[in-house]
Amino acid sequence: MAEIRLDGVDKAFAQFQLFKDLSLQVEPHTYACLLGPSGCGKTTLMRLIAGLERPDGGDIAIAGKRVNALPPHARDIGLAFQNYALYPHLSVRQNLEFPLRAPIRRKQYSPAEIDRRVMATARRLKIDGLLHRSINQLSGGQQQRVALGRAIIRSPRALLLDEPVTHLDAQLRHEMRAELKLLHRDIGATTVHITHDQQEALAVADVIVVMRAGRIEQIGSPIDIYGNPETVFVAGFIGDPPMSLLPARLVEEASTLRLDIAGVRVPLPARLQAAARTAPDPDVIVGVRLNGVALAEPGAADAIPGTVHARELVGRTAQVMFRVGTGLARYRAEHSLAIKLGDRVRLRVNLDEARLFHRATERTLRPRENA
Amino acid sequence: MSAIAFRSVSKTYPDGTPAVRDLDLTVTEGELLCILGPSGCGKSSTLRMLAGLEEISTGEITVDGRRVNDVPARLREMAMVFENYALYPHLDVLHNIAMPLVARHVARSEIERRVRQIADTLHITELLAQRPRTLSGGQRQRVALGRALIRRPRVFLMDEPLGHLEAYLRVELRSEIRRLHEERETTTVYITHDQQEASAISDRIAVMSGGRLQQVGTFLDLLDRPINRFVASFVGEWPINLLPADVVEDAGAPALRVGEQVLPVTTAQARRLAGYAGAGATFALGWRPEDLGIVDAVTPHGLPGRVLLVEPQGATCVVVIDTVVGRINAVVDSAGAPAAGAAIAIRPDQPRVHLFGSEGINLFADTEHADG
Repeated sequence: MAEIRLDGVDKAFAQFQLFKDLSLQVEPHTYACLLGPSGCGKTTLMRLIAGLERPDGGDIAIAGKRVNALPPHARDIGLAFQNYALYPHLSVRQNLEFPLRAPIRRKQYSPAEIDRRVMATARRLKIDGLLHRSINQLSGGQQQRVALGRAIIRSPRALLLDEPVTHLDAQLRHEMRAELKLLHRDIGATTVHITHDQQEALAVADVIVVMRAGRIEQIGSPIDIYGNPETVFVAGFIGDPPMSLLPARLVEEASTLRLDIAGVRVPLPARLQAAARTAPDPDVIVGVRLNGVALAEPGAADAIPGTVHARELVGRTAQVMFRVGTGLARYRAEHSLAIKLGDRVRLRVNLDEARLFHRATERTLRPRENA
Repeated sequence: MSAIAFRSVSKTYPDGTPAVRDLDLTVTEGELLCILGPSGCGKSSTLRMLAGLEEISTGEITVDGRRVNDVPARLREMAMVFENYALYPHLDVLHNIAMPLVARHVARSEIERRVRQIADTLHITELLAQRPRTLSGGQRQRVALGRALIRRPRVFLMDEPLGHLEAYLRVELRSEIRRLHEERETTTVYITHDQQEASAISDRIAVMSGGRLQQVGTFLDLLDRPINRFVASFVGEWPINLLPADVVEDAGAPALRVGEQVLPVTTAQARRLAGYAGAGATFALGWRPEDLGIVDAVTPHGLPGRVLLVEPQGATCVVVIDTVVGRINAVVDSAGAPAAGAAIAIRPDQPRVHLFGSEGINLFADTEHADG
C-alpha cells in the first residue's frame, strides 16, 4: 500500500496564498483524517493529492513516485465525494462498473473480471441486492455505499474520502463511520478522510491532521490530540465540550511558580513546573477539561471567583459556564443545581491534568530536553 | 399562564398536502419552547402560522387569550429570526444592528445603549466600526443575531437561526441565545432539527413528525420516557439501539427474550407485559448506548457479544459490538473500555429500557420511576 507525501507544497488562489511550504506524510495503511473548520484548506489539500488541483511549488508523491504531472486517473487512488457524484440515470451496477469501463482503461478488465469485481464490491458494501436499481431510487445511505464501492472497485492503493458521512442522519452516520473503519481494516488502502466534525475524526482515524488557515496545527493519534493538544486552537476545537481556556499569569513565590487565575494564586503542580520555566514571559493560558473545574468548598483557600455566564442541558447532566476573569470555564453540574445567571461562585481548578500554553504564541509549554 | 395556545390547528396547502394535523400545544409565559423534528415534519408551517405568514386552515391560535387567526403579521408583536440573513454591506456593524430600532424611531441614546449591550453579550463590541465584508462567517452570524435580538417583541420566533453555522460556532452561539433568554424571559418558539441544540437551549421540547405532535416534555422526559419509537430514535446524544425481542415466561413472571438470552425486567415493566408471554407478538427493544454496561462474558442475564471496534471520543468511547441480534453500540468511559476482539456481555440499566410494540408505542414509557 501507498505512502502519501507532500513536500514543501505551495498553493495560491488569485491573490490568496493558502499553503506555503506545507509538508505532510501519511504512512502506508494509515487511516488519516484531515480535520478543521471551513476555509482551513483541507479540501484543497485532498484535491492536490487527487490531482484535481496542481501545486504552485513543491512535490506530491504517492508510493514514492512523484505524481505532480500525473492526471487523477493515473494516480491509483479511489475518490468518494460528499455529494456522491453518482450518475443518476445509470443503475447501481453501471455506476460501480464505470471506473473499470472508462475509455481510458479500455480492455484493461475482461468482462468476467468486471463481473467478479462488481459482485465482490457490492457484497462487501451490502448493496448486492440493489444492483439493478437506479440511483434515484436509493436512500442517502445506500447512495453513499455505491459511491464508496465505486471508489474501491479498482482496489486502489490510496482512498480519498471527502466528508463521506456528513450528509447522513445521526443513525446512519454512526453506522457508516463504523463501516468505513471496518472496510479500511479489510482492504488496508492508505486512506485520507476529510471532515470538520471532531467527533467523527476521533472515532475513525489512526492519525488526525488538524488544520487551520492553510497550516497544519498538529498531527497525532486521537488519544494524543485529545489529551495533549499542541496549541490553543486544538485545545479549543477537540472534545465535546472542548477544553476551557483561562488566561493566567505565572508568578514566582519562594522559588516555585504559582499560577494567578483571576487574581488568585494557586499552586502549580510539580508536573508543570519545568514546562512553566520555559515560558518566555508570564502570560499563559491554562486549559482544563470538565473534570478540572469544581465548586470550591465554603471557606476553601485558593478559591477562584467566577460568575454564572450561561448553562445548558447536555444529555442527562447540565453544563454551566462560569466567567473567570476574561475566560470561560465549563463545569458539569447536576441537572437540578439551583443556580442563576450572574450568581457569584467560588471555584476550584484542578491542574493535575491541565495543559499550559504560552499566551502570545498560543503554543503548549513543555519542559526542555535534559532540563 | 399560557402565552400562546394552538387549539386543533391544521394546515392543508391548496394542493391538498396536509402540513400540520390537529395540533394542540401551549407555550407558557416566559418559556423557550423548541419544536423539534426532521425536515417536512410541519415545524416550519407551525411557526409560520403563529407568525401570521401562513393562513390557518382550521382551528385557532391564541396569544394572551386573544384569538390571532385574523390579526395581520405586523400587528402580532412577534420578531422572527431566520436562518439566513443579509447584512447591509455599506453599513458598519453598529448600524446594521441598530437598523430595526432606527426604523422604529427609537431615541438615539437608547439605540446606542442597546447596541452596546447586545454587542457585549455576543462578543462583537470590537467589531462595531467594521463593515460586513471584513468579518468571518461566524462574526457575520453574530451581527445578524444581534440585529434580530435587539428588538423587544412580545414573542421571539426563531427558525433554525444557527442552521448554517459550523458545529463549534453553533455550540458557542446556542449558549448565548439561552443566556439572553434567561436574562429577558421573552416567550420564545424555536425551531430546530438538531436534538442537541433543542436539549441545550429549551425549557421544553415539542417533537413533531409527519405533521403531528408526538410528545411534549423536558429533554429528560423525552430521553427517559419516550412515548413512541420515533421520539426514542430522534432524541438522544447517540442513536438508540433497537433489537428484536419477544416476551416469554420466566420462573412464573414475564421476561424479555433477545436472541437466546432471557433478560429480566423490573416489576413495573413486568406488569405491562402481562398477557403477552407466548402470544407471538414481536417487539423492538430500545437500549440507549449510554445506558449499557459492558460486563464479563459469563455474567448472568447479559447479552453476549464480541467487540468489533472501539471509537475514541475523548473521555468516553463508543464500543461497537457484534451480537446474534445485530450490531449494538455502547458508550462507556475510555478508562477501562474493552479492546477490539474481546468477548464480553452487555447489560442494560433495566429501568431505562424501552419496548416498542407493533404500532411503535413504548410499553415501558412511564415505568422508570414506578418500580415496585
